[in-house]
Order: sequence, then structure tokens, then C-alpha cells
Amino acid sequence: MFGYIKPFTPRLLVCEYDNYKAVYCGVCRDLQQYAPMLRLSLSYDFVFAALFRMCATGENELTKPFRCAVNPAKKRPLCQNEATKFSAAAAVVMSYYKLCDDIADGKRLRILFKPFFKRPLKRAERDYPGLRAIIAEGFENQLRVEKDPDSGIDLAADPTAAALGKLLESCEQNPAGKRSVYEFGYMLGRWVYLIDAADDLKKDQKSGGFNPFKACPERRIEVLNLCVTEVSARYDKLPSQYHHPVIDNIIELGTLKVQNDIMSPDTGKIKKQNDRHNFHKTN
Amino acid sequence: MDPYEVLGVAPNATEEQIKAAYRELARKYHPDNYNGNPMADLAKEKMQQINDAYDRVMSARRGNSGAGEGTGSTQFAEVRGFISRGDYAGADSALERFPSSARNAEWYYLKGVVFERRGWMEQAAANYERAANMDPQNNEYASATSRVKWQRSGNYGSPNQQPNGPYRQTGTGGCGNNCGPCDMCTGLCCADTCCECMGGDLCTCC
Repeated sequence: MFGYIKPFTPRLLVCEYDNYKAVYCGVCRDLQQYAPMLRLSLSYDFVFAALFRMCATGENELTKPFRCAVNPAKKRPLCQNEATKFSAAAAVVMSYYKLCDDIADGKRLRILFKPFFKRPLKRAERDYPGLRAIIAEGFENQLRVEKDPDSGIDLAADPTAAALGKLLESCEQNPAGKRSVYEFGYMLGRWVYLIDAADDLKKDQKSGGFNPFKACPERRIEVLNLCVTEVSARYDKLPSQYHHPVIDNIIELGTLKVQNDIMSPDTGKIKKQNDRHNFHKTN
Repeated sequence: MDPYEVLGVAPNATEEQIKAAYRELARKYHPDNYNGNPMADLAKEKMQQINDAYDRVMSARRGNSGAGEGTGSTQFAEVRGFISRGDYAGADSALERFPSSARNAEWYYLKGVVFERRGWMEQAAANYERAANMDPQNNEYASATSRVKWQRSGNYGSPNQQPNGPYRQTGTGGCGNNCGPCDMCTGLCCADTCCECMGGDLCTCC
């Protein structure tokens, strides 16, 4: 995943934001237990995944405050539980496949990193057996789809969308709710893929990489709009335990904010202003 | 307890209004916001009530609407049956069995419905449009097309409902068109200055 699923922080309550940061720290700490160097790869998407899983399992207690190595002077709230562990495991597997992808893409030197993944990957697989298969399938299908330059928008977005759908679906325990969770995850994954494609369009036009918007760059905004409105329509149909205020914010405001920033770069000023709310800088 | 009362909306409120009210309450009472607070149990109980009320209201409203219903011909009754049961794979393979000569406007519309459920929004939009072009008189096809157009312009919900729910506004927050704390302070300052011009004093501190 790519770090596009994040909240619009100016509209979060302070306590909601504190909770969000506590979950961020929880995922980071769990990631450290799998593979310390991967902490750098932690993105907002995985914090979202952890929050989502917490809604599914009902775990939400804050654990003991801790001191982070980044700023040991200050004690921070921490929320570390099974959900953050799941999310960290997903991050490990995702980073590994991203690395394989990069190597196949011609960045050959990165092959040197591969041995470092051996143990974390094994542990992630032991803790969450189905995880690796879901993500591996997503990456494989993505590679296949992108080989054909004529793949349409729907087909190109399908592997990523299905992977996120399955990932979130695996969090839901009630068989009756699985379908709506999958459909929501699918649409969110589709949006992530499309927003990433829209963001990379200029780069791909230069380098000749695959991009579903190459054939129709002017349609980007309407395609994204149709997708993002559908995301919130499907969000409304989820079982009620998923209607957490922070997830509300992410789906209803965060997605639109990210989309606005990418589609209209002239609003850079607003972006800068909001970057001050970026957690790394203010924390 | 009346679920509408719990949510604080009128029984004839629109779906958008109910959602907005629900979100507002959920935000206020979500147990996560009461971690380590003595009110936590109370909030949890309240949240449970709100969730139950919302689920009841929504399922009561959803009961009489859903995809797959509508005024279709007998030819596609089987496909519509699959769709209303939620079996989209079955609906798709039933649709594929129709020879290309039998593919009329309704076929394209139903194909669009199946694509939409699968999440292939672009294909769904193309099929709806094709159906509406083949049979411009049909309300079902026209409303699907106009809904997609509405969503493409960044709006959510059906075009007849109010365009912006409270959660649909992005911005930097604070001083917008609505009255924020900033506006209130400015207003107070102005009022105080005016009073002082006339010899009075509104805020005694300045």
C-alpha cells in the first residue's frame, strides 16, 4: 500500500488524534519486533488496517505509555494489540513483495536486501498463515495485468483492489458481514491504486511505465470521483462496529483531501499548512 | 425505545439526515474517546443503543428497496432473481448465456449492475449509458446513468437529495462561511469597539 489512506487531522478531535497516534506507535513497535529496519517503511495505510481490525475484534484499550527512541524525553500513549501485530505482519509481507517488484523492475542492486527478509517473513507467515498468499496473489496478478498496455482501468485496478478486499475481509469474523467488508475493501483498494496511478502519471509518461490513465489523462478526476463516492457508499453499508470516528474521518474527508492535493497542485499552500499537522513533525 | 428518538431525528427524515445524526452521536459517545475515563461504561452503553437504533432504522428502510427489483421483462426474470439474492456470479453467467443478438437495453443495464457490484465502476458506467442510449424512455436506465454522472462530479447519494451532507465538506476548518470561534471573537471585538465609540462598554476588560 502507498500511504494514501490517512485522516484529515484538522478535523479530528484531540482525543481521536491521540488514539490514532497511539495506534501508529503500536504498529511501529510491532514492526520493530518483526524487522527493526522496516520501521522506516511504515505508512498510514497500515495504521488504517490496524484501526479497521480493532473495530472488527473490539480490542481498543490503550496499553502502558512508553518512551520512543526517536524522542526519549517524552512518554507517549501506546496502543499495541493483536490488530497492530496483524498490520505489522502485513507490512512485512508487503515490503518484501515490493522489493521483489523493484528487482524485477531493473533495480538489481536491491537483491542484496532480500536475505534480511527471510526470518521476518517466516515469522509473519507463522503468525498469520493466509496473509502471504493474499498479497503474493495481488502482486502476481498486477504484474500480469500491467504487461498488457491495453488493460483498461477496471482490469488494471482489480488485483490491488481484490488484495485489500481480502485483507480486510479476513478481519471480519461474522460470515454474514464478510461480503460487505470485502466490497468496501475492494473499492478502497481500487481507489488507492487509481490515486497512485494519477499521482504517478507524469513520471510514467516520461519513463514509459504502465499507467491506466495514459490513454485518457483528462478523465482522471471523474474516474476518481466515481470511485471515491462509491467507497463512502459502501462504507455506509458496513456493520455498525466499523463506524469509528477516525475511520469516518479517513473515508469521508481524508480521501477527498488526498485527492484534492494530487489533482490540483496549485493548492500547495493549503497542503503545506496541513503538513504542520503531520504527526512526525509535531510529535 | 423508539429508534428515531435515540438518534434524535424525525421519522420522516431522509437517509442522509439519519446518517449525519448517527455519525454525530457516534463521534460523541465512541468508547475509544473514553479510555480510562469513569464515564467509559456509560458511553459504551449509549453507543450500543445508538448502533442498535441505527441498524433498525436502516434495515427497515432498506427492506423495501434493493437492486434487482424493477420493471423488467420476463426474459431476464432469472437474472434479476440472481441479483436480488446477491448471487452476482450466477447473474453474470446467466447473462453471458444470452446470444449477442438477444442483448437489448435491459441486458446492458443488468450487466452494468453486475459490474457495479463487482466494483468495476467504469465498465458499469459504460453499460448503463449504453442501456440508456438504446432505450431513452426507460426510467431505470436513465436514473442509473444520471446517478453515475452525479458521482463523477464528486457528489455522493442520489441527485434528488440535498447535495452536501455535513461530512462532505473539505476545507481547512475553522473560519469558513459558517460561524466559527474566530468569527465570534471578531464579532465581540467589533461590538465592543462600537459600544466604546458611543461611550458605553461591552467588555469591561478592554
